[in-house]
Amino acid sequence: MTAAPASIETRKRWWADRPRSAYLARRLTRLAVSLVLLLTLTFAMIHLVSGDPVRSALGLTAPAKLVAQRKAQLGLDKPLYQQYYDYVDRAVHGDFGTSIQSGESINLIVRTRLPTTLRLAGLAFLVAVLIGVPLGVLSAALTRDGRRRYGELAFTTTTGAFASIPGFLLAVAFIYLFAVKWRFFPVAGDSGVKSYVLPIAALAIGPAAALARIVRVEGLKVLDADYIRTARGKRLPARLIYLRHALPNMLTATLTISGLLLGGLIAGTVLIESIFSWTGLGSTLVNSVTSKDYPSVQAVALIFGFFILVINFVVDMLLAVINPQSTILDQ
Amino acid sequence: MRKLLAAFLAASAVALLVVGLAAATGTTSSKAVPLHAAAKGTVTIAITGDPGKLDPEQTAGAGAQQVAEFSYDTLVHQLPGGKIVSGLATKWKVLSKTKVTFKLRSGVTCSDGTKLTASTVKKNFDYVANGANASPLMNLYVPQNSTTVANNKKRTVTVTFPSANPFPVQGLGAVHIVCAKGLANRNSLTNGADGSGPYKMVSANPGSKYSFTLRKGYKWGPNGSTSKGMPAKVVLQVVTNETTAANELLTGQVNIATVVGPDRTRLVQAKLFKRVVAAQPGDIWFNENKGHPTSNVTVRKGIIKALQTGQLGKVFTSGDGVPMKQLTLPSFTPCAGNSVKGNVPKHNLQAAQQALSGNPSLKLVYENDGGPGSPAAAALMQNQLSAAGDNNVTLEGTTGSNLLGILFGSGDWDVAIVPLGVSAPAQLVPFLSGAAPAGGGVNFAHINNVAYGNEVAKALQASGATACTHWINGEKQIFRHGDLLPTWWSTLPTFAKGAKFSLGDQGIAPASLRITKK
Repeated sequence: MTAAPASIETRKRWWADRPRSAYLARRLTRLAVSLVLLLTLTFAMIHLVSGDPVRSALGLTAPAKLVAQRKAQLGLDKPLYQQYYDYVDRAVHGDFGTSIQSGESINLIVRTRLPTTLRLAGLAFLVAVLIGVPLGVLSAALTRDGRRRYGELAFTTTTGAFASIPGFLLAVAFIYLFAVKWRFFPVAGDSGVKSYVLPIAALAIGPAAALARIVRVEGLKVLDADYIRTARGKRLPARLIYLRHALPNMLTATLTISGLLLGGLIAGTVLIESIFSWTGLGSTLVNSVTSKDYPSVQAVALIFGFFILVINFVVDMLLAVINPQSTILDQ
Repeated sequence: MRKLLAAFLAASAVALLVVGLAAATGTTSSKAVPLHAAAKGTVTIAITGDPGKLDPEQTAGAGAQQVAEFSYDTLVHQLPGGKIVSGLATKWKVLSKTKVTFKLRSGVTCSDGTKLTASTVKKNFDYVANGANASPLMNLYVPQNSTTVANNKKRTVTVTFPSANPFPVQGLGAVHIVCAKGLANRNSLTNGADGSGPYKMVSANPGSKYSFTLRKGYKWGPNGSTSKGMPAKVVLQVVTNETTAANELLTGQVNIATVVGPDRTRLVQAKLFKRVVAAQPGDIWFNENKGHPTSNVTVRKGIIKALQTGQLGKVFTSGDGVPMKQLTLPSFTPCAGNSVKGNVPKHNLQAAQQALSGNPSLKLVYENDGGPGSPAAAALMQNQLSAAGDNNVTLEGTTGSNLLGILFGSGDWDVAIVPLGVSAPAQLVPFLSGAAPAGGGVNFAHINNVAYGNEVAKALQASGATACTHWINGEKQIFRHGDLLPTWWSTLPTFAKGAKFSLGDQGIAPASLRITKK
């Protein structure tokens, strides 16, 4: 009877001595719960569609026999619990089934189109970070302690405007100006370096502006800290002050927002790929919604959700590793 | 500090370099050649969605059938106006209501060089007619359990149907014929092609583009036309966004594109080559199931008399439509004629007020995710019915899938805007008569029009012009009885720059493709 409390105490102490392992365990549990929720919600999607999703996908004139056959192929004639079990079982084994519209394997569709989406989102993320972080640090350095009021105004106005314009609107404007009017770049397509410029710019400019604003705010806080004043008092070179002392301390917020931005960029590919006719998972999602191909919508939503959950997990883990003082370990 | 600024500027420059890397090579001239500019001898056609599975006998989708037009042939071709001309078959004869024979052209070869035989054609029809294969073309073009006899020596194919077939030549003649190698390995057709068509598919990138090269020596096109003058290469490029398609067309990245929405105005202003076909009919249906006010013929006719179909048609088609003359697609209907004129009850406000004096409660359902036409037409209908004294009309706009759910499931509707586009009057029969959805049929409006049934029976017993007279008379009975109100057809314009073409019954006719200077 007395052994159990001792064991619990021992275990509590064991976890208390290992805050990072405890955080990893908690975070993994949360990730698992989120994945189960994601699976359940994407499964529910096809059943929340009123009417008959197969009839809807095949159209008004499709023969009843074909509708019945496609339903049987998709397992939609089985009891709900059996469908859920089959769905989870297939998802765990990486099998997304077949498209209602084309009868193609969704695995094949994902395999051939996911790299395009990751390439687009990844490059846009790189550009956003390479522009946003230096711009934010530069702005913080130039406008600290109330200096250069007009510069600050120009920075906040410009970045505020770009951060609030949706990527698809920028895309439309860029296409009109740089592809239709001046013909510097192709209107659409994803072959050749030139074809990358407009989609990446449309996707990256908003996040770059948002990132620059956050980095600047963090930068102003850090540059006002005592240790920076001390460093300046010691007449350390500016390069050391900014790159060795200031920049690492700005990273926590930057990393958090970067993770969110990457997730947002993956979601942003949905419209950008469609506008620029890129054959990725984003445009597949739009096509599948338009053609009412629910199994494909399910699969793409599941993959997008999975990536966003995993990105958030990785960011949280990086924060815990990079900054041991971070309060994230208490969450 | 200056050094630090220089470092930041350098970092920013690196980032900008990534974006502007290629721009540096092409930003100096506004005459820079677009990336996908149609090369000499190549016509690039934008298609609005991914065609999916390319096996022409496993899909009835317009996209896949358009792709099939380039690499497959059909026995006959239908010209605008309904005239039938030779294709793989040079002659055909309807032997009886249940039997038709085709004489195949000699010297037809498949893209792999093998000869196309009568046996191969037979295997195509056998595949579609076999219920186990669940071909969507079954009963659309080839009735289930049809039997085919082939004679390779005489190059004849004779098909016998289990019951009367009103349009056997149009039906069988629309099937894209797969060659022997493809029949032996159907999986190879999912993302490939094996046909005798004018073009050979050289690459298929699903969701992106499909490339074709012209076959030398092709001489079995519509009416015996050859490949002379046709472009050496054709690329079908998937462009789902209409604005993008319009921009690509204007900048020369694609040569042909169908644009329906607001972007068509820009293309019309640019004075591009254009061909237009009717797309969707503005059909207004009434629920004749027991318990619905519209089961009463007086109420139905009252509603029709309250509505002004000309105004409704204009609103439904955003002013770009044409009045309906019958229920089948006007360009390729096998039966010319006007079943609408003089048979739809005319607008008569007084008569409508009298018929609707009971202020019947009507639920009007329509699709609200398929463009502005149906919602605007529904609002106008509510307005016109109100003017006729019926203030009890409820509008229920819903998604296309939900609308089908209501029609085939709950049945909770009285009046519905449901465009039902078909190319032959026989395809309408299960929708205008027979079993309701609960009984396994598709007669969602519960129409029970004896006079229509009689005309259909007569049409099925007759052939040619006599059959057509009965089909047209059948539609007249539907309109006279107030079972369905036809308004206008919406139209589908296809524009071209640097190319011209004609539209066939399955989209752009490959044999008509030509490269032009402008």
